[in-house]
Amino acid sequence: MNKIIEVRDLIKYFEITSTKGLNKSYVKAVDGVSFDIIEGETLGLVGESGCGKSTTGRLILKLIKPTSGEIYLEGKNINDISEKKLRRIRKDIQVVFQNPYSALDPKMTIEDILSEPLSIHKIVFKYDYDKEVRRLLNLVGLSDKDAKKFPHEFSGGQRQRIGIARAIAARPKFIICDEPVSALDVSVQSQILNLLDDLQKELKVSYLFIAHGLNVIRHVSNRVGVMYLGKIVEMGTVEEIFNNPAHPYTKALLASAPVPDPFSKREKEVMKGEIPSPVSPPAGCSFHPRCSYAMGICSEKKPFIQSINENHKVSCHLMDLDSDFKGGLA
Amino acid sequence: MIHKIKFASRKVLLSALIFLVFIYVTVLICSIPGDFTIIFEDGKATPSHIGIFIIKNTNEKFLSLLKLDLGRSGRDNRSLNYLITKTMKSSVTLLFGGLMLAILFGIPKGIIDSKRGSTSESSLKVLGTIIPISLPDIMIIALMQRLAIFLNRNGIEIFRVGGSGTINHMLLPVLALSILPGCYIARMTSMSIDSCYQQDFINVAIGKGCSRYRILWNHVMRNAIPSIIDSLPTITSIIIGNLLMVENVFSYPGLTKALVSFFGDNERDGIIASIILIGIIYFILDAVFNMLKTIAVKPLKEESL
Repeated sequence: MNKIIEVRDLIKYFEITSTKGLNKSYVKAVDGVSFDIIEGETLGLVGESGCGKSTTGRLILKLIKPTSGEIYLEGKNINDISEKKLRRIRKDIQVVFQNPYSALDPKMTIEDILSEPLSIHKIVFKYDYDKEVRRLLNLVGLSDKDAKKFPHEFSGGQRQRIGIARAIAARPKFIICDEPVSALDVSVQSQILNLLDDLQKELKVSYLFIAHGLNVIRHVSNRVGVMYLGKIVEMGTVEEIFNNPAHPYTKALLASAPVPDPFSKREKEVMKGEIPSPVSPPAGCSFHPRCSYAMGICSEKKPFIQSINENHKVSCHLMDLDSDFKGGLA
Repeated sequence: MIHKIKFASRKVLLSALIFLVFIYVTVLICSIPGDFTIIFEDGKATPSHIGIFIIKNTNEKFLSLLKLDLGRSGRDNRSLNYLITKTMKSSVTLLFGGLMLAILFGIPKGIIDSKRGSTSESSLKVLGTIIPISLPDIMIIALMQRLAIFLNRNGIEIFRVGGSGTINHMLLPVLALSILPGCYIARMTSMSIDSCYQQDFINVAIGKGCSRYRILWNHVMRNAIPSIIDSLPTITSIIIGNLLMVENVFSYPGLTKALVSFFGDNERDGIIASIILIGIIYFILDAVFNMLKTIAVKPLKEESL
């Protein structure tokens, strides 16, 4: 299968200066993230707020410049390309933002919003814009009449549909969905998720699905990456991550997700303390101050991501221990 | 459509009512004699003039104003209608020129000053706008006059130091009148642009592949213009306030210069007429800006209706 996106050692440090302007420090928002997304696949990125999920998405979109690392689109490095070439490449990478209320230009009609990418990337002839706009609206479950309306005339769910229509208008190969359902009602969330699923089957588009809701990630993703403090700590297929989590953070995250069964008895994995500051992350494994299984080595040495099996990678010192000991921990 | 007509007529009626109240209050204040006092005798407060006569005078003057009769000048018994219309024309030309120049200078300067999505800001550009705002208005006007004197002494006679009659006489007053409002408009524009660039729809536009130029004109300016228009009524009051200084410093025979001379001669009718006409200018400009805003903020207007 063709790789649509390859991300290699992506780093983004935001510089912060003290009020006196003397001391400089860095927020390590994304700290050495690597992953691939293949054609027609959905990679879910999950983690707590502030762990760097959205920053990763914005780096791939080239909305912000990375400190270092490489991003490849269909094998081509898009890091140091000219603005003109980048604008052409943007056709293949689109985004659906979290807040449908701020993602649509309030002064443009839906027709203008949807026909703008058509004209920029010359997707269809000018006299076919109307037809294409109507086709896109029908594709996301809206009517032809909606084309002349302004964004404020729609509900949140409808606006998100328009956002999706706008994203697919350029016929991209890859869409970054940055928490596309977290600002919507639960009833509307499922409609949007099903719509994204249907569009993927029809258009063979790949998704990077950023979310903090584990149920949403489980529903839409083929593979899942778990992020903690700017790093991917575990990555694998949905089945592996949800049925056989290996990293203590993933286990705690799964344990904290509510189950709609009041009689279910689950193993409780409670994380200690608060998420550390990304300005001064702990030495060694960044999760060790909150980890129930922390060992001496965890505070001294950074763990490397290693494969457990063909479909599962994890970054934890526990994986270096012998299997009997790991069985005891589980 | 009926809703729109109702809404517009309600607004016009309200403005007319406010304007009539403004005229009446102006006439009432000007009808109070200069030597009016309250005398306290045996614990009783007695006004030096009988209130009913003041009200009667006010009503008479108000009615004659409604008949468009401004009265006659006490100095040479000339019709105030003629005098005021002549000076009003000069002031309106000056105001219009100043306002246009302020907009033409302010909006591009605001675009240049703004960060336009970048994280760094040029302090020098912003200072260029903030310094004139922080200086006293009279100082800017005096500096402009000094510049004209300097140029005239060196044989460059583009600007006339004072007086009226030719376009050259108008250049300096218009320039002096436009600097401060222009800087305000620049600041307003740059702040509106910067706040627009923080919106998600700008990131969406970048993601679509829009060029910088397209983002600025199709997305940012469309959203920034309503807040710039919103600031124009405030800027109009600043420019009218400065008009008084400009006309007097440059000896320009306008409405506010006439107002000052009416004050000097203690001509009640002249003062009332000048103040009312300045008010009319403000009301007309405010109505024009409101209309512009209605056009610029069309979808939001429909929503509010």
